[in-house]
Amino acid sequence: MSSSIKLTNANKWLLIIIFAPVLSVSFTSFIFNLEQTAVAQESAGVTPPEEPVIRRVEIWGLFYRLMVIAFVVGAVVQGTIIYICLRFRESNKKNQPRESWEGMHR
Amino acid sequence: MVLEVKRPRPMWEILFSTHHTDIGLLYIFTSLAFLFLAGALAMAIRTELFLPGLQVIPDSNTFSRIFTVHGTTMLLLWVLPFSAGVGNYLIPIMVRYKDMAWPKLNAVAFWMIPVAGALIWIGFSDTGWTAYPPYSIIRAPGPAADMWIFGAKILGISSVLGAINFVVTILKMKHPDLPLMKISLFAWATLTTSFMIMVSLPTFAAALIMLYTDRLGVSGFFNPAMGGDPIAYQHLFWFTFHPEVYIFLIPAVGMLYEMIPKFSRKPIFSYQSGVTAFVLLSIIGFASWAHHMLATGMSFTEKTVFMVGTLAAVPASAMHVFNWIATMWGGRIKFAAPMMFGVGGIMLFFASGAGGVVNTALPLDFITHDSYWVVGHFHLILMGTVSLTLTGFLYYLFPLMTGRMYNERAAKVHFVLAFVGVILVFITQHVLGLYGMPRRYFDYVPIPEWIAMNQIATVGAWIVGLSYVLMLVNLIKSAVSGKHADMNDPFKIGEEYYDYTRREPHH
Amino acid sequence: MGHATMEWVYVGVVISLLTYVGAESWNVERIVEHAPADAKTIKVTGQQWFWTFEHEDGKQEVGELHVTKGVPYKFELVSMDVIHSFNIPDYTVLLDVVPGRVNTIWNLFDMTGEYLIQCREYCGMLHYNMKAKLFVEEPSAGTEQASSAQDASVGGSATEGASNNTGASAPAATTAAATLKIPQGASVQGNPSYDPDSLTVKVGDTIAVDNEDSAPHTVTNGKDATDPNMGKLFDTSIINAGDSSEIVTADLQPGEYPFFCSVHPYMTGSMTVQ
Repeated sequence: MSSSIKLTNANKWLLIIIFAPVLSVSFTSFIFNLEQTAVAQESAGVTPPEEPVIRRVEIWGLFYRLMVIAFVVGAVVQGTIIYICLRFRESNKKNQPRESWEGMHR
Repeated sequence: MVLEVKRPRPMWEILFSTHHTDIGLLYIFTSLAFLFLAGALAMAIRTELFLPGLQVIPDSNTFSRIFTVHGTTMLLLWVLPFSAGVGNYLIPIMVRYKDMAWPKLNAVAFWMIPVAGALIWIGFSDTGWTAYPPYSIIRAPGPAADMWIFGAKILGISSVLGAINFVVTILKMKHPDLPLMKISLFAWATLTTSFMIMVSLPTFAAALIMLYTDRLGVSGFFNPAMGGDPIAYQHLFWFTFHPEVYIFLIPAVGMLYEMIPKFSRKPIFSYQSGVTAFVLLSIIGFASWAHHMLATGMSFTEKTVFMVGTLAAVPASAMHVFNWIATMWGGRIKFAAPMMFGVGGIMLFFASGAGGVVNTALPLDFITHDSYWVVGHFHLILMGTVSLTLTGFLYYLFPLMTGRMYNERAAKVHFVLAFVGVILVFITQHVLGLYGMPRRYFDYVPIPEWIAMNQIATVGAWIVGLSYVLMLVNLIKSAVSGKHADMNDPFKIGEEYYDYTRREPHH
Repeated sequence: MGHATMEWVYVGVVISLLTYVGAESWNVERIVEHAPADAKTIKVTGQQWFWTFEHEDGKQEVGELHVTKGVPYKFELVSMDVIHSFNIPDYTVLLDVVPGRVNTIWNLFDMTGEYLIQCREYCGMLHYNMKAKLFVEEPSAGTEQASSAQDASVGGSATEGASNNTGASAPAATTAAATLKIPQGASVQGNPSYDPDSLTVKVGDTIAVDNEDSAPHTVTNGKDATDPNMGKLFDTSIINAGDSSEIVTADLQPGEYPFFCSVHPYMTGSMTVQ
């Protein structure tokens, strides 16, 4: 219960869990960028006529990009909650009573 | 061992009581009654949509009336009164005062609710719970729509009176030895919610009066034929009802802060961050109302402003989730039924929050707006997160209310059924919305995907309905003949429970 | 209570993810927001409970819309009564149709075929039935110039769609044996709907139908919209406000025929053929 940060195992896991979405998002945006640069290089020689904007394609493209983030973050959050429920449930044998905390609400 | 109320009291003594636990009981009882009434309407809606064509509802007009009353009842006659009822039970205990600040005002605020409920249910209006003009002015048949307006109006007054009472009780009647930063987070939730009610509701109250005079034809605020603007109503309406979403949510968040640390047998991870998130959310909640109106033809700048305002509310909600996860981490969690409902609520909270971000991400609103995605989204937050948490808290308060214990096994079955059912209904409805099915449709084109998903949703709804019937039976049976609860620690978790002696009226 | 740093890191991550979401959405919205200058305008009128479309060249279509693939269209949305929402789900086109305002939205149709146009804002009794069909057609073959091809195609299809109307509203060639009036205010439930609401004619008579109301109506045979035989025996299709149409009874057997308005199904009447 000290205010200083110790890099305990639990804290390490928390850090990994927190940063996983950022890593995955940077990774996916990198992949998407690769695709776009590849397309740009192909058509670099020909001066492309002004591409018509197709609403449907733009909007669904955005939707799928955001869904990647949502599902990664969702998997992390829900996975964490499920892990906590299994690991820290009362009936788990690994889980010893912590005398210092219990009954704090009395 | 168990202290029952010393002598059985006649009905009228509870009905005319001004004691906070009695009024809390009346609030909870009324809200549950309306939950089951509106739930029956929900079953009718889902059954009707099981297949295209006519099923159980005779015509589309009746269908419109049913979804209008279902929506109004669930929001204003189930979620709000239940939270107010729990507040009535717990706030005086938490601030260590003998009662609410103004017991008679408290009773008045409660007794408005049955009146308003009767107006809404006898009128059975068909305007949709949002009552958008000009439909509600020039087309909606009276007197149903007028009765709806007055019902909503009375409910607004009742909420404001209740809110004033809570604010005064918490700030002024708090025990002098108890600093504000030591009161329970549920009390903080009630405090911020009450302030939000007092700031936001007058706008809706004004809009209702304008709507009524428009219906009478003496004014034309929202009637384009008389030079009015229907969009003005939507601004006034959502300025109340977007904050209202947080008014529905924050008490449930406060209840989770009551249950999670106790069942995890661990102190709250960060009390300050909980308080900060409540205050932040209650302020930022006012910056996002027009995200309900992104498709009404607003300018690009307006849309950008309200998208940013909406996204700004997310970190505050995310802080709560972090707080709960970190509180449970390393604890020794007892999964009694209330805790199961709580954890289920948290899991669905993320899903509904993510859906909300999609709604506000500007162009995506053109996929989701007024489709079943939106229906799935707000039901996921109101049914999945808020109502499941409230249900869990109802189980948690049951020993305090009755002195008896509910049947734990039936309550767990209830949770599993309700959780699975909610996912079946509302996650499916998200996908249904992506396939383009609009909301408030009495009948739909027989597209195979639409039929399949509507059927999954309907079966899910039946499961949820069944689970709540199970709860009703369990609660009635346990209230009459359940095991007597150990009032010091009914859930056997070694933590404090509420002061049961409060059930003895002091006068 | 400690561990504040961990929470700050978490909040920072949440905010950075949201910033990414917000920036991406803003950018896409910026791209799709403004209609190109050469977009063709289609005036869309929503009313309880059908859609009317008017092309740039004045061609009107009711309940269906013909457009050409690859041409940007700008829709100007107006409402005659309550709020509707113009929605083509397959093209993510969605915008509210607000009385007293003109909202615009544009789109370029890139797939041919038949699509659904629907109303997404609750607008009353037949909200669920407020549909129209969208036909996206190839630019007419043989023409090199895209623009002239569009004109031809739009004009051609629109005439086809509008022909029902013009045909129906053309003055009756034969003198009418009876007149069926739709009085002013008939579109409001409870008002008199047809005048007379039961009429008697002989086989072979022609009945003139005058719409004196300010809303469009039809005279369609059948009890209501669920009647499987609705519109099979006679149907005037939409008669716009102030227009007239006619019903030919030459093919009918003697008997009693109920009819109603497919726009406002509470408007009913019956006709006895002798």
